[in-house]
Amino acid sequence: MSQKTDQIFRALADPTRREIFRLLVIGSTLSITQLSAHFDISRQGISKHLKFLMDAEMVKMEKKGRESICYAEAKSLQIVKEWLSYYDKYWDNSLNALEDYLNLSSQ
Amino acid sequence: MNTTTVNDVISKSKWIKQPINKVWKAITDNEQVSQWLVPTNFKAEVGFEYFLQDPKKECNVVTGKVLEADPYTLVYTWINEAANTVETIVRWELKEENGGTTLEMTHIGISKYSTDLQAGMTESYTSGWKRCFENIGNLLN
Repeated sequence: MSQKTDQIFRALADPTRREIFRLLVIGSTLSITQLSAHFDISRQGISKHLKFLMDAEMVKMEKKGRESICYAEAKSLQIVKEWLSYYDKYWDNSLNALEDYLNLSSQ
Repeated sequence: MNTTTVNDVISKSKWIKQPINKVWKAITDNEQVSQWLVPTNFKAEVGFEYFLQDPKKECNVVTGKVLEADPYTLVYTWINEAANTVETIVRWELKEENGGTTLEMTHIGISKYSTDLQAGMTESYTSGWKRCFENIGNLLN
C-alpha cells in the first residue's frame, strides 16, 4: 500500500472526518465556523481533523478575509457524480426488469 | 420513468399496470426478487439480515437489514461489501393509482461512497456494477 493510500484510509477511519468530507462534497465550500456548527466538538478539534484530510489531499483550504474556507478536491466531486450515474442506471435497469417480470408472469 | 437526483439521493418513480398486492409481493418475496434482481434470501421482516448475490459471483455482494416492512412501505439498509461498512438506505413505497401501481424507489446516502471510492476502490467497484447491469436483463431471458 502506497503511503498516500494508507493516509487516505487512516483519514477515513474516523467518523468525524468522514462526515466533514461528506459535508464538503455535498455542500461545496464551507468555512471552519460553518463546519463546526455540524459537530459537538471544538473548533480546534475540527481544525485537527481538517489538517488530517488536507495531508491526505482530500480537502483544500483557502484564506478568505478572516475566515478559512474549505472545499473537497475536485476529483472527489467527479467520483460522486460517476457514482450517482452508476446507481441511476442500476435502478433504471432494475425497475424495468421488475416491470417486465410482472407483466410476463401475469400473461 | 421519472428520475430526481438531489445531492446524494436518487429517486425513481414508475407506474406499472399491475395490482398493488402483486407488486408488493414481487419486491418482498425472495423467490420473486431472485428472479428480477439477483438471488437473495430476503424476508420482509423488521431486523431481517439479507444478502444479494448473483449466481456468477461477478457482482459485489450486497447485504443489509430490513428497517420497515409494512404494506406498502419497504425500507432496508444497503451495504455494498466492496465498500466495507458504508451504509446507504433503500426505500420503496407503493400507491394504487389509475388502475395500476405507482412505485417510488429512493436510494439515500450514495455520496458516502465517495470516501471509499477515493480510497482507491473505484475500479473493482464500478466494473463489478457494470457487469451487474448486464446480468439484470439476462436473468429474464
